[in-house]
Amino acid sequence: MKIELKNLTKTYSGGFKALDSVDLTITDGMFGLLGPNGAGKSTLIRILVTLMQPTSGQVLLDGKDISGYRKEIRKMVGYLPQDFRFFAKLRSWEFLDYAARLAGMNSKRERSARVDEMLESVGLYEFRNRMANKLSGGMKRRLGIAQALIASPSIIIVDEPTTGLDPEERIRFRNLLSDLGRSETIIILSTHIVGDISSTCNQMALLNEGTLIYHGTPDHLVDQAKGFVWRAEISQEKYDSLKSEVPIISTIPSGGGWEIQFVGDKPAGVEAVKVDPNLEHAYVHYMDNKLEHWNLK
Amino acid sequence: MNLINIWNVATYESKTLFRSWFFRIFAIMALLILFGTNMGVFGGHTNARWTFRAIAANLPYINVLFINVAQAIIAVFLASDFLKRDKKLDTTEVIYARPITNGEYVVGKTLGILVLFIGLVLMALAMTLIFNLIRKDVPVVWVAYLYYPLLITIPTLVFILGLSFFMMILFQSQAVTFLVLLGYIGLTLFYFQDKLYGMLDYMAFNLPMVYSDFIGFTDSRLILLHRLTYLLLGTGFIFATIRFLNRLPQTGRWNSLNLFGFIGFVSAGLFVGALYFNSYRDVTADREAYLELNNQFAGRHVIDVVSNNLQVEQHGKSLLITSGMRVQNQNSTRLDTLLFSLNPGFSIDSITSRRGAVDYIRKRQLLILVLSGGLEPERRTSFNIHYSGVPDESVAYLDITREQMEAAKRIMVAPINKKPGIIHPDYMLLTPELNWYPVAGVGFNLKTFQPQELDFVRFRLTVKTDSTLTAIAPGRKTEDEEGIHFTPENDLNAFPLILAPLERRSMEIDGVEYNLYLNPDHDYFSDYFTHITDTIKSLITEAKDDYELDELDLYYSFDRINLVEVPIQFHAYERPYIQTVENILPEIILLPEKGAGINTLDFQRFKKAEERRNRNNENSRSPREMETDQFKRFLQNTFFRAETRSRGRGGGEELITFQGDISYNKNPYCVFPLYYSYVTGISSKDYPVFNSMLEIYLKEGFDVSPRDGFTGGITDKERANLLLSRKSMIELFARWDTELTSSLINQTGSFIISALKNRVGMNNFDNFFYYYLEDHAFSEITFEQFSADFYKEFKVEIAPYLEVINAGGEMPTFLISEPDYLQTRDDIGDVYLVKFSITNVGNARGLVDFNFRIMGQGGFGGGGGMTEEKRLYEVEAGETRDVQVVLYDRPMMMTVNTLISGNIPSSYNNFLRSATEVITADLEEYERNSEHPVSFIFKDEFVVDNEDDGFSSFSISRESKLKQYIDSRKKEDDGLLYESLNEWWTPSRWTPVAHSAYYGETLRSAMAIRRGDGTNHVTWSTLLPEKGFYDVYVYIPVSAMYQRPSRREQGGGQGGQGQGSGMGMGRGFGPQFADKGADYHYTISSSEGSEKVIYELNNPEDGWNRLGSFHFPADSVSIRLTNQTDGRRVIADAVKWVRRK
Repeated sequence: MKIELKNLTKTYSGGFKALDSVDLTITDGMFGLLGPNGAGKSTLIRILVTLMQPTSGQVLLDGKDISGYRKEIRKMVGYLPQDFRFFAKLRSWEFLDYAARLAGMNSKRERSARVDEMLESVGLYEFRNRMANKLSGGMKRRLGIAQALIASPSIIIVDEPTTGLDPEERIRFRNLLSDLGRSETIIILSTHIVGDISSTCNQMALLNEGTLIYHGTPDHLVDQAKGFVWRAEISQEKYDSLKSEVPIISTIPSGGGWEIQFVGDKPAGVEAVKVDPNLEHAYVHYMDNKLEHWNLK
Repeated sequence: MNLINIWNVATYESKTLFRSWFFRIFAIMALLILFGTNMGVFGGHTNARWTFRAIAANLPYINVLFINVAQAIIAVFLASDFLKRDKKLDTTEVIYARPITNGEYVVGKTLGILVLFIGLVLMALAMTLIFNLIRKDVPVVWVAYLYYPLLITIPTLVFILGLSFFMMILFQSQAVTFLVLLGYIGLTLFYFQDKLYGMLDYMAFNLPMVYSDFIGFTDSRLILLHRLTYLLLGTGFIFATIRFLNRLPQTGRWNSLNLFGFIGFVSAGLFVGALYFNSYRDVTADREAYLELNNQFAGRHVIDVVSNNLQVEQHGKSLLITSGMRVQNQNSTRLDTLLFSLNPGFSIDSITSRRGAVDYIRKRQLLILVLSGGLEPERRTSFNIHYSGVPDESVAYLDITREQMEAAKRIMVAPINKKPGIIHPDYMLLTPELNWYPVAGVGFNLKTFQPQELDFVRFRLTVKTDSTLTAIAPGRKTEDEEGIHFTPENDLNAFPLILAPLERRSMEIDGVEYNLYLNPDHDYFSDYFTHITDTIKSLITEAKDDYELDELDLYYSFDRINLVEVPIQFHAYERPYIQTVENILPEIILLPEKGAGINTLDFQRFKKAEERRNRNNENSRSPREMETDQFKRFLQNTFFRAETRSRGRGGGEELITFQGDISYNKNPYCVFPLYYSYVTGISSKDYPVFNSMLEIYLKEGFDVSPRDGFTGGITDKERANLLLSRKSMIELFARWDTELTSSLINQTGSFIISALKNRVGMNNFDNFFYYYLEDHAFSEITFEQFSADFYKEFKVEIAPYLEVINAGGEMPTFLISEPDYLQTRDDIGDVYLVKFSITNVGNARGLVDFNFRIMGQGGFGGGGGMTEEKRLYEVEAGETRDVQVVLYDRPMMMTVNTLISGNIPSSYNNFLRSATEVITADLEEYERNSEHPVSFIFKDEFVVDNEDDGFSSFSISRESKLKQYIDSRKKEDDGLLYESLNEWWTPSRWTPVAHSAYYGETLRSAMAIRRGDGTNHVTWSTLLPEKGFYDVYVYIPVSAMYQRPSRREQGGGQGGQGQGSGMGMGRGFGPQFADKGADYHYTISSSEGSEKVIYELNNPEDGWNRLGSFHFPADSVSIRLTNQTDGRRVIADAVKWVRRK
């Protein structure tokens, strides 16, 4: 399966361009969509799940324009929106049942088995009778992913799924997604949390102000940052002056001073050692140093 | 569209809604309130009126109406809340991203809400059903449990949900949607109501849908059109919601189909609505056309119908009728055409006479026979008119205003149709008003302002019906293979026919056959009279005798009386100028279905009250005694009372309980017309209203009591007088003002009858009149004949007295002197003399009625009883009469009523406080001409009243435009500018006000204004003939300036004579002098200069108050009063200059 975005542009009625001529191809597996808030990720996703029409350009699924096949696309898609709150007055299982019904699972027995299965797999079976609004934040997210997966969709789109989750919940969530990523499905994970992508995605795209600025593997993105990540032990005074020169991404107190990591060119007079970058380093380095330092395209 | 998807959405939407507290609280509240209402009205031990449950279908109807209004409001909240939630896109996107169409989603949502609300209605109905089943006297009308939710709930909900959804999509704001829709609901409930024929009333709150046991709904078509309109509009809005939903459609195909659905359904809704609207508008247009035609043909010579042999065949709603008529030309000229009125729903099949076919012209409700060769005076001819069709009810009651016809009539909240007759295959009620047989001449028209003048005709009727209905009509009933025949014993002026599924119960009392025609299932009353079955006959005789002997002095002349149960939708309008209401027809009394509306038929309530009373009393009464009492009261209050309210403590019992109906003032079930209107009548071309006057005189007498209330202004009677001094009665009738018409008839009637009685003697008049009526029973009397016979008997012409009707300007006006109240003795005891003079300063002869209230031993409240003595004096224009009234008991009060006159007030009370003891031999009562007209002008006194030429006023209003507009609206009525002041209203400009305490020789008025800065003022000016010192007096009408008066003080002051003070008013409890301490700012001017005088109303005399003594030249002088005061208002009445000796 292949999703192709061709010259995709979305301009809102106020003139704001949320997406600007985005060309992108997504294939089976887990695909990460990274970008700061307001980069156009949610707009892109809403176009993909047929909730929004692009101003121009096309989205092709296996070569077919999805705007002519909304019903089919909606059948294939499992979608978890960003800031999703449940209908307060439904129980966990009822909500999944409703989603299953809407997805076209008409057999009651089949549906009931599937609901239980999904509740099991997201670890909510014992909370099946709890009202959805009485679940914790993590549970809600899990229930959200469960409703997205209920009809075994071949395209799963999750928008900022880990925002507001505690680390444990976040890891659980990532694992759940990576398990799915092994089957023949496209999973699109939109996030501004770099860790979500580095730990799960084999492909990713980076969006900024509506423009696609990177598309490739996370490793390749990381490679681009090699030689720009440093670790140093510095005094308090030095720390104060360095803070304004480079983005410091970690600070640990050490003796009378600090052990820090920073991204960018090493300023003169600072003793630092190179560190192997990770995706977060690469992302921060990019965001801080603008495009001219980069040779991504 | 996938039904499963719709079902899925609906299931979960209703589940979510059902679990919301908002809905639950609403549902519980609604059910609780309904439970309470049901307990109160339909519960087992309730005291609620029988009317509420008499119509069994009203149980579900009233419940559905109640819950419908509540739901219609709540649905707005819920529907807009749903979409508001949808606006939180992320939440709904889970659903939106699913493979369902927009249509499935919106329809599912709508169904979800609908199902829940319908569930609630079903619960309410289940509860109602339990009450229904518990009540043994109210059968379950199962279809009503189906019809009402279908017709009321579903269209209402679909419409309001559709509209709410659509508004939400349109405005994108829940707050705006709320405001707009709640405003709309408020308007429909409190403003639109039945406006535009109830077209805007989507909740069907004003759509008459009471369901009769006999015929169900009367206007099924209109009900369906009305409800369908809203169902279609609602569906259209739902399509619009689908079309404009903020979600990409699943397929483009549906999208255009939804737009089409929106336009299509809304158009269909509007079309059906237009059909509904037009049905009414057509009726209105038809009625105008009928009236126009009547106007056009009114006044033509009319043939006299001698006999009418009617043969009626009923086929469903349709009638096939042959009217075999024999007519006579009683005019003095030859008639070439014969003019008849016949219901326009009938088409003429043929008209034949012995000589063959007769030519005719049919114009709507008119039928004009064209006779070849004409019909010479006194000649008779016969012909048969064959006609058929379904009678059209719109021709009835052309004299009733649209406003009155459209006024809702309700049982509790349930509106009822008002049908002039019933046209239904299962129940035919053909009233004369439906004009179902040809009647000579035209009906109501604006030229005569009288309904059809009806001949006494020898009717014969044969009825054939293919159904099992019982036929009821006046006359002896026989049956053979040709049909059922009715042969009335007497000629009749109205002939009704009823074909109905009724069972007859009959008994004979004193040669009169009493028939009760009743739906066999509707006997709810027999159980209340099980102990008196043997005495019922004598009770009826007793009640009838009481009425005939004590009230009327007339006797029942028919051979039978039929009490007939008619569907609840039948309505007979009352008219101000005739006493007949079509509930009473010759030999027939039409009682509403199960007695609904007539509270005297509420036997259960009476019985309970009796039993309660019995428990509280030591001497308990037997059931027999109680039943006797109840039966007597039922007869007396239902059939023999003229008013709709029985006399009794606490205002008495209301006889009729229909809410909102403005037409009943008189008791529509009073049998009076069976004694007069259907037996005889005096017809007159010139004075058609004379008959109405006689009717009122016979039925209840005239009300000549003084004005009610204390606050002044002018009464209906005075308004009638003032109007009559400018216009003729017919012109005034044309205002279609029921109150005015009725006041006019009452005023002129009491004047004319009093005058005649006065001329010929009270008893002589009555004797003549009653015997005359008896002699002329069942025939029409012409006015000419009656007045000729009256003249023969008494040598008194009636016509001149009747001229007051057409006067239009001529009117008596009286000056009545202050009475001298003297006390003396004769051989037996005390004698009281009241002496006064009356001068008629008007331009027509008039009457003054004096009523003396005489207290028995102990005076007011002494328990000695009160009697009245009346005197009536006729005074020609320009004449003065000196009067001495001799009374042998002490009079306390004299009420003066000038009947028709230019006096305002037209009646007032004179308290006779302390008699002057005198010794006199002149103890004869007299009334003699005098050369000395009554005058309130005294030598060296110069009085200027606010009605005089020397008075002028100046006002600039500084009020807001709105306030000015409201004030000006108050005055618009007829240019009759007399207002009354009260605690809440004082005008912003100088405004004429009337009150018996104000100064005025014949017109007791003043000018009043709210307090101000002194800009607005009035001026009294006069020319003083001699220079010198004058005392200046101003008139302060203290008696008219009290707040919260008690009845005792009413009319206490006596106009120009300033006698009303000293009654202890303003002290202690009782009314307070409202203007105490107010300062009035006067300026007294002449060519010698001017002087300001501030007069404080501390303890003013009631009447003339002296401002001081001033020197004036022999010249024009004036007094000015401004609106500057500490008080609330300034009242400017009269001033006088009194020359000092």
